[in-house]
Amino acid sequence: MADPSLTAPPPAPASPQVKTLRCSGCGNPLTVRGMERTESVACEACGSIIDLTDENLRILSTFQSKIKHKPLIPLGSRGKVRGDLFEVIGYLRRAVTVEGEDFEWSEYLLFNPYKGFRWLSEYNGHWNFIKTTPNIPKRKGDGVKYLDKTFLHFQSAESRVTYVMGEFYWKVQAGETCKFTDYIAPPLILSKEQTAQETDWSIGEYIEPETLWSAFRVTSPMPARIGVAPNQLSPYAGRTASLWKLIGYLFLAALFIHLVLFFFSQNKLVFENRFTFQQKDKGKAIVTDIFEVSGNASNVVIKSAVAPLDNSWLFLNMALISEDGRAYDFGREISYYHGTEDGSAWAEGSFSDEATLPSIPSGRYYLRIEPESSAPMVNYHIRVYRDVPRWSFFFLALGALCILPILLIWRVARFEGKRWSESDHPGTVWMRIPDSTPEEEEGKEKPKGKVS
Amino acid sequence: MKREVNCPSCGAAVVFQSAASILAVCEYCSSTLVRHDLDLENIGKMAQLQADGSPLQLRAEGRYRGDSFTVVGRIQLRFEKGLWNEWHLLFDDQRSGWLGESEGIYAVSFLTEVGEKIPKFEELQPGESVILKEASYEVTNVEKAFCVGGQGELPFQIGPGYEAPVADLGGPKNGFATLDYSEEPPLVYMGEYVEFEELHFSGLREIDGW
Amino acid sequence: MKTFIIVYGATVLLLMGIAEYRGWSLMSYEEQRGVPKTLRENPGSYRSSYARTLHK
Repeated sequence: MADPSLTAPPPAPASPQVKTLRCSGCGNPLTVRGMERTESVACEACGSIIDLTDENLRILSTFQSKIKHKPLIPLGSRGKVRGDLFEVIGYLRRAVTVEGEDFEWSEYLLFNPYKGFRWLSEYNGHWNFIKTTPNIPKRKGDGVKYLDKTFLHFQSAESRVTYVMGEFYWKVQAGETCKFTDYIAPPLILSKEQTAQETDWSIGEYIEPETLWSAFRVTSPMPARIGVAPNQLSPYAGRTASLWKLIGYLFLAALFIHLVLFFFSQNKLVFENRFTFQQKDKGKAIVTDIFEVSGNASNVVIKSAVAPLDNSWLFLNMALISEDGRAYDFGREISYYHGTEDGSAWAEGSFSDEATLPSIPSGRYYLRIEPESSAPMVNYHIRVYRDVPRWSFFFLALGALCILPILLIWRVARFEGKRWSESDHPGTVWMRIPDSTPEEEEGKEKPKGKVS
Repeated sequence: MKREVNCPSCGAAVVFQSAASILAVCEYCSSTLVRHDLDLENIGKMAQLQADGSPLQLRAEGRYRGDSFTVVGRIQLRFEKGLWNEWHLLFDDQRSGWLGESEGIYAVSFLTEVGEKIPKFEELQPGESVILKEASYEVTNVEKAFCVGGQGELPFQIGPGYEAPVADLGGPKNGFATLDYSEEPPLVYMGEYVEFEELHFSGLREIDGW
Repeated sequence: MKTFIIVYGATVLLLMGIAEYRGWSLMSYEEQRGVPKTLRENPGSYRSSYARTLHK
């Protein structure tokens, strides 16, 4: 019964690893790393794209590029991304033309025979780690909902392949185009790619270039990041609530501190007297009785009031003098003028004045007053208060604190403005602050939507 | 349960681990053997499968939602875009399941009876909605797939070049369904997309350099 | 941003507190020292610097 042709153990389908083939265009050797799972490979020497599924390795299309681009992460490099080892097997460049301007970016095809394919994309120094997803997001307005997360529409355009190197899992054609739409929920980005035959969705996650440089041991210089990437996490992401709370607490603290100081201020009348000035008293000075000024070195407020002046002035040269020889010199003018001009009455001035002397140490003081006036006789009333509370500093503090919310809004808006500047919706920051809360996600066991 | 017989062509051991399997491909001589109660009928040599780089192989083991399974069979199909595999899984509780593998996307599904009426294959369009077990599924592909060949044990008969019209659908919460029109009424398989890691495989094919 | 807010806010509050506690004012005045005790008896002997201000 035994079949004589039986020789070896169970035959498994052949699985060669790195194969070397000859380019059917120019005979150059081609390295194929995709282990039977790639369908096309580009010949660096002659620009031919070879069909790997064809026995005769026919040429699919030919690439003409004046510039030879060099991938930042060389083909054949291996590195661990999100815990899995991948090898760079392909590199391509795509371009879009928006309002007459060309934008070009790079894509790197990563391969692991157990994990399948992944992509790295690079634009303006920003990197994303991408994988295709079979899940189809649901439409939500002009955005989509995917895995319970809302993604905002960022851009719809048509891209074309401008450069190829290495191998790919489909039959790449030179200049092939596809319509794509990007939706963002930083740090994630959902892309829909439509060709005539199919629609594919992929999910990408923003990845720091440092991570890739160390994973793949890249030697070429790391390009600087320019602008803000569509799905780049805002430095304020998830923190704005706590910052607003902090600002709110500062306002409350200002109110609290002010009210406490207000409540504990003395506002004490320490001296009061009435005086009369007559022109014959000109040049003469008055000294008051000594009064007690107590407590911490707060203010002393001298309030002067005059009996109604009629187009005249009263000038008081005053000095608050302490028993131990300090004098605080100041002069106050009280005046009142009025009249009629072209039938309407006008008035200027007042009948009272308030002078605030700052930080007066406690002690025993008296006032020296030397009045002058344009009126023949003036009755005036002087009251001296110790530690009068003021609202002005509180309002100044509020004004100074108001800069904080303005600053916060300005900074968030500036970042988001940069983010949306290259999208289909520039200048619509206010409607499109994406709902990204990475702090929430850290608590979950398997973070939703994290690309691995 | 497990039945071990000898291949009528070459005498090698052929194992039927699942009671549901009616066909097995002899690993040594590729004879296609159909089980008829007590004896085996050799219906010819199975075509050689194409190398597709899959990390899976027969006798690999894994776990789906806590239930252990063994990979006991495989069908390789070709469609417009390329190849895909349907791996026949045998669970410890003797349940048969399927693991679809295509371009690094994996989906587990089980033959399911549904109450709803299934639309005709010709009527299906991608994007269309189909109700299955009271849930709404959206058609993602409609294909006429060709069977390249098989391996191991399978619960139905297949032959190379056999045409299978199939439609894949996506449903809520990673849901996945396949409508197989190679029979009338069409067979419905329902399950979900899974990440490779979630299946906790062991006994995978060894690949040099990896 | 958070550090800046804390530092700036604390500074504003501190300044406000000191200003209120120490009764700061923007009024201009001149502090003189060494005013003799005898001034109380002889008020005319002390000339305030403001006395020299001419008025209309």
